[in-house]
Amino acid sequence: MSVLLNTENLSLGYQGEALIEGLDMTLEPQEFLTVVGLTGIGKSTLLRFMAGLQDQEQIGGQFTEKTGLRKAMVFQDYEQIFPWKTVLDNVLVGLEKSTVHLTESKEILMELGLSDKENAYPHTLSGGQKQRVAIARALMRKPELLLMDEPFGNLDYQTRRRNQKLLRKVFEKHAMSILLVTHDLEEAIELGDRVLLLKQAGEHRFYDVDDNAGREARTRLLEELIFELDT
Amino acid sequence: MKRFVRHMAVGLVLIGLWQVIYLSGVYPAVSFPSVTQVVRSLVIELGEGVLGWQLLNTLRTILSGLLIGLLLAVLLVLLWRRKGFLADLVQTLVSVAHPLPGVALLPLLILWFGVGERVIIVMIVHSVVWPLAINLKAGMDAMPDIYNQIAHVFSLSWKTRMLEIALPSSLPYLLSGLKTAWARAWRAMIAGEMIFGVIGEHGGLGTYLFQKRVFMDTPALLAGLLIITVMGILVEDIFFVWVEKRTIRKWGMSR
Repeated sequence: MSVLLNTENLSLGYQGEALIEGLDMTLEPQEFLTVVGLTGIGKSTLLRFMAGLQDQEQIGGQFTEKTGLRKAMVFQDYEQIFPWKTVLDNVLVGLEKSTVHLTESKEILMELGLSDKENAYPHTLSGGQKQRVAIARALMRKPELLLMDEPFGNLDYQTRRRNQKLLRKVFEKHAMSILLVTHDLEEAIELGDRVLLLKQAGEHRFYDVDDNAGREARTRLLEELIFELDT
Repeated sequence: MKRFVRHMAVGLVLIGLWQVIYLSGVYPAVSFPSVTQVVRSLVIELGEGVLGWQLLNTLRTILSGLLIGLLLAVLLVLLWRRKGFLADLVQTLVSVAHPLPGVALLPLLILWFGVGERVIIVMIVHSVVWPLAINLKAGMDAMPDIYNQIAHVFSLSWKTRMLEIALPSSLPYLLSGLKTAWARAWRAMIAGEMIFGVIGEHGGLGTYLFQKRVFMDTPALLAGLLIITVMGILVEDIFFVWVEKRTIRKWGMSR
């Protein structure tokens, strides 16, 4: 199977009540898919389902993923970084402290601009830095699929922009796919190759983002998304 | 250290107050000796060496009890956190046993464990295991759910989850449990000894206090109490502060 994951008519929900209905989607290798939609529409539910976090149920449809798919996840909450571990130990959690891992983690920290923070404890880091530690930790797992749940949702505008650029660079360097949930439409267009818009009652639509399209085309797409969300 | 100095300053004020009461002559000197008498007594007792041995003996017994209690508490909490009959059993056990004073159990403990150091250790373990278990459980319950999600997503092993996540995450609670346990262990130790008398070659501080009471040596009695108080302050203000500085305060987790 060349696609990483595939859903057919997938319905997800809690206690028998569907939140996501009839979703058809595929995710290709090295694709950046962003998911947008109003609050409570089930964006995070979808992501958590794909991460294998068993707090929601599959009500109907099909879900298949590549066997042995390596996944990692970045959450929104700063609490995802363990306060008692240094940056380096957070990145290496659950991994052997071998020379290979140490070298890799240092490279990744450098890539994310955290080289000088290796031995720092999280409470001395800014929110943006904490999120980058979480990204570094995920990258250490060499994921084929990186799941991101509003990773920059708690950051101020400037920091968010900087982290977005960095993430796109990281994405292009590491051969992986990213599924990123966000409520920020601009972020969705900025980062994604494709945008999945979730609407009420199982209605959903995909939008292709043309990287080479000019500012105008992007603005048009943004306006379209805003219009779709409002109706 | 700062706290230690502050506590010492308060101690000095109290000692001054003591001396004032002594000088006022409200109480007979035989039951209310002067500060100098107490200090002289302390120097003599320590100089003879027996009190030092008794203090060491007490500390050793308390630490053994604390260590066993801690291990037991960890085991109990592991069972407690599972759902089902075993968890109910531990919950019931804690509710029933926690309020029971160790001294109240003593007659039964003597029947079961005989007389001697062993029964005192059992009493100490009883005094410390419940507060330790309750605090550790509270700490694990307070652990943010996101840690479990991370453990799941990153397929962390049970060992990593326990040692690298659950334990440090509940450390603030565990430390407060240890402080309670330390104080309770002292009470159990002294109470047990005062009932049994000498344990081992020299006995411990309880034995010391008991003997001084028998001989109506009030200054020496007070010297013994002083030692217990100072030990308490040392451990609270120096040892625990040292541990906290190197752990939860360094990590920004101190609450």
